[in-house]
Amino acid sequence: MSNTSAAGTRSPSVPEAPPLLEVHNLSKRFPVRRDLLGRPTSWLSAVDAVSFTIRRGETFSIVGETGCGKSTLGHLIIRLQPADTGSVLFDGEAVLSSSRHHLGQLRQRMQLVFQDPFSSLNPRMKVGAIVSEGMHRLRLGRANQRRRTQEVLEMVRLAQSYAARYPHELSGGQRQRVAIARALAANPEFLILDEPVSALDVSIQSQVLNLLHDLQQELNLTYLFISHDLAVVRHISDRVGVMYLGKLVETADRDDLFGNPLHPYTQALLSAIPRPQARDQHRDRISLEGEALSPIDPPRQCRFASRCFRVIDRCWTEVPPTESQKPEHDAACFNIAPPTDATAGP
Amino acid sequence: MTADATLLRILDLTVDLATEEGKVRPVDGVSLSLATGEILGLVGESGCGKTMTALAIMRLLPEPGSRTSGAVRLMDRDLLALPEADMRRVRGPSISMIFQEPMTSLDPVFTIGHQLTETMRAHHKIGRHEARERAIGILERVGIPNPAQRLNDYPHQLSGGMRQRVMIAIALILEPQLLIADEPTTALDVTIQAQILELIDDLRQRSHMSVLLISHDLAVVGQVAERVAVMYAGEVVETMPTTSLFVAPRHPYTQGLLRCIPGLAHDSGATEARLHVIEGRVPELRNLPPACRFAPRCPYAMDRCWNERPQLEKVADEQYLRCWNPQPFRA
Repeated sequence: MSNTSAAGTRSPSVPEAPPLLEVHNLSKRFPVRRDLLGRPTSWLSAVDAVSFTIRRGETFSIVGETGCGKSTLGHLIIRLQPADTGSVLFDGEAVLSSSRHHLGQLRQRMQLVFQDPFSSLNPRMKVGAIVSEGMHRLRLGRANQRRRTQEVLEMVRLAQSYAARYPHELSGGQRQRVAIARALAANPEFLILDEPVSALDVSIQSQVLNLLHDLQQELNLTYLFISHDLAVVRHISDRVGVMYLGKLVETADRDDLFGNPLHPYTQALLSAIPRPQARDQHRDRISLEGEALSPIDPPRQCRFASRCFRVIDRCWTEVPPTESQKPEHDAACFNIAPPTDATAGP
Repeated sequence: MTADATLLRILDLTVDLATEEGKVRPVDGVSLSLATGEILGLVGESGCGKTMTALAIMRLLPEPGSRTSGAVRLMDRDLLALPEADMRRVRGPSISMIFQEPMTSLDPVFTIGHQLTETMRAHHKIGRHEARERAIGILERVGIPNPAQRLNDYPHQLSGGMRQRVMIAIALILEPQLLIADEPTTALDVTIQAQILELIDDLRQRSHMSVLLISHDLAVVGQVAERVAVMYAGEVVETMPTTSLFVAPRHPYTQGLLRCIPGLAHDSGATEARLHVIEGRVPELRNLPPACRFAPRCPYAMDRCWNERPQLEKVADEQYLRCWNPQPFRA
């Protein structure tokens, strides 16, 4: 398969499109142990010096396994949690240092959709009320609010009658549509989608992914798509960033990342995807040996070194910097090598 | 031991459950067989009856309110006809089961070593020392580093992948003939999932154990199973070798499921912006379609599909199908 970014018929992300979101050197540590005086003595490094840019109208995905910090990253961007260091520019405006009032205005333009549609909707509120809650900042009159609620329910392909129902009356897929409708209510430009289809069955998952695709086209939305599911990420993304224990280890155009992964972790991750084919057709996989490094007080070294199959001496003593390997393709590794048979994308 | 001897034969298994909303039948006339040393995949979406089938085999369904009929033959014994005391001796030494969520299936107040040795001492007359030695051995086999030290660990001290390995170790310590694995990797990361699947396949090869692998993930099943059975709304709609699953599925539901998987299109060279969708939703058990249960969602449904219930019939070597109007598959 060709590695050029033009291969897909996916919505083309125009390389010249201006950046909508610029994340620079974002870090977050959580205290895990304190001394007698309550001073932290031990830290969990959840997000460590992460930088990336998302252009207007594109889908940028963050993939990684449990605990890699991808959800925390989403929370830091819209200031659900305060970051320790770094900056976030949304359409040129600083998010992390803005006043409460200004933050409120910015948050209307950037919305978050959570993974679990079973716990993210208030069970005591009807769907109509859940959706209109998302627009209270718009200060619409009651009639306009009702009209807007109808509008967004229509956008997510839910009949008007659903406005009068409670979440428990809905299926998982319908609930996730309600969560998306709530996010769309304030007419945002940017959605952070945190594992939006992980809790859904495969046939429902494809409906929601199609809906997200259509909405992006209709409303010119920009997505930050957070997921552990590589097949879904490959389907929906324009560009992809791979996270490992708080570090963004590789960033590239979708086709380049899946066709020509450079970081050993990305290569191992891709080789572990179960492919939809019978077992005797499977290729060799890279098996990761060893235990993952603890994210608590990580030493100054490559965080993947303990499981890496291409580790060299330097990896144990220095943190590999993120470097441009070729245009639009960054990786943080001292021992970059092209993929072998086992690691090349399918 | 011959390779194709049938270990498990399920005949017309039916489960009736009394719920608050009335009686439902989550498993309806399921027939499956499993050879010695074979891995059979059982796939389907939430609520299709795959876990209920497993619990019925183990006779672990809630006692009042559930009724199981049909036959579950393990070698020459019908498990459904056994007294409970005998059944208790089947669970463990003959059939073991592992569940999706390793955190809730392990007892948090006992060490790993205690849970392993108790399992052994409940079924065999062996001393503490020997039990400990065997526990170390099985932990080693499932790939746990420093097994002797790990024996003293509590479940919360282990990572998710390690816990699932311990679950597998407990399930395997009595060397069962059949392992029922219900979504064994669903809660795990993809790199750990690959390790666990390799482990299950490796253990099957070495000890000639049979495995019933239950999963919603067709790709996972394809990776290790030799044959696959697809369930929909309580019925088996298609069974076939996994070599056919991705190239020649015949049932419209199987075909639809495959087309829903993002990535299948990549393998055929094209990248589609839109994914395939199976219209409609799974029917409620209290309100099933009259004949074919997939008819309301099926693109090829005919009059007959609404009037006459299709039976599971042989359509090719080792391929059985429940459909009046099968169409060739195109990805």
